[in-house]
Amino acid sequence: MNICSDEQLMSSLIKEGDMKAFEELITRYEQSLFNFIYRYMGDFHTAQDLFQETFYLIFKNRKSFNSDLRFSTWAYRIATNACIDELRKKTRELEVPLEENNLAHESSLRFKDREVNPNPMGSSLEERLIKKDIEEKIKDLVNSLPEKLKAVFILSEYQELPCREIAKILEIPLGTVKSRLHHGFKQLVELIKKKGLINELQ
Amino acid sequence: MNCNEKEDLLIDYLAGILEHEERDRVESHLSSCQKCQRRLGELKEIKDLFKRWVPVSPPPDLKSKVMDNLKALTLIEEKSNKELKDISMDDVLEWLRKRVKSEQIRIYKVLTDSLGREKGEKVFDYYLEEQLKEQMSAPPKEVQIIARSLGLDVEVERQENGTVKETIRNCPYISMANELSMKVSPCEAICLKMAKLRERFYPVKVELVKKLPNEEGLCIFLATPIASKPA
Repeated sequence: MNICSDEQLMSSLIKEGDMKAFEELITRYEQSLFNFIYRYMGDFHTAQDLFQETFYLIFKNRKSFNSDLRFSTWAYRIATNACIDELRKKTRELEVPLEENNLAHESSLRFKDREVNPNPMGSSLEERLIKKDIEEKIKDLVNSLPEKLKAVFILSEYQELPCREIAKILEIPLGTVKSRLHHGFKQLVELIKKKGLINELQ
Repeated sequence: MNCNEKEDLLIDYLAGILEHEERDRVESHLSSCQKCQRRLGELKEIKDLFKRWVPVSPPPDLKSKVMDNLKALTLIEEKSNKELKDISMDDVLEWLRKRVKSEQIRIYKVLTDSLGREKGEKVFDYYLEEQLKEQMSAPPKEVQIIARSLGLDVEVERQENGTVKETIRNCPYISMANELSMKVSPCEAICLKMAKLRERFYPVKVELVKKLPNEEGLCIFLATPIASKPA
């Protein structure tokens, strides 16, 4: 199974029930799909569940895999839909007013500042804390994007997929991808400027 | 072009979503406008910040978990055309038993997806019962301990006549019902079944005395001792 394409692996899975081929697909996509789901959901534990769910659905629906599509496109599509389903379920459960949520958010950001700043010595632990802090803030900012903008932003910025591919994954026109990417990017730029994060984070 | 328009174009330029023509236009403007060069520099710095959110490593056992889940699915798929009674329950249960409670929702899904709702629920029921029996095979003395081992949060109140009033809170079966948008009644049935199962191990009669329709995960059982043996 040296240099089989993803699609060849899928075909051995479908035609011969080759589970080794399926395992190989998991190996190939473990890193990228797990991180995609993790970034989309913002939670490690949920990401584990949804990663399993994604491959469960890939396996279950293997026979409906359309060979006109690249495997990666199809897999990302299934993962995205699993994430969206989960997010809908969560919003139904939570029903916390948005503003309240944001307030809690901001105060937690501020709290972290206080935790880090009192120690004036540039110890490596402190550097690590600051680094972690920046990462957390970026994570929170990206997660604050509306669902639709977030999906496109993560697929483009972190998964480094071309817009054409993103359009196929999300089944939306190319123009819509571009406009969502623009608005997502812009919203983040504005937030970062507003919060003065650019100076703080350097 | 006003400032906002410029910023919009620079964002698109940086995101790599401009058509050739526009990109050329932006580039030729940049070569002669220092203000826009600074703007672009600033945007680039912001874009670099995004990369500070670095990838994580997936847990090492993730792949084996996926494969484990599928084993059960393939097993059930192979046999789903036959009648439920022909499925080797031992095989299914052997796999199910290994699962932890937090995976019950997945188990429920796997079963109902592949066997259909009715059959799937039957197997799931059977699974729960088996799991309970296993838990009960060496019955602990305190009801709280049993309840906790089943993931239930129980408040126990001993009344004067020896009857024990048990209030079940945070019932995972009921939160499961909410999650699956199921009616809550099958879950109450599971709770009742669990309570009834105790009758096999303790000289008690268990009845459901109060069920709240507000799905808060709360029901109350009364366990009345049959023989008046002191505890």
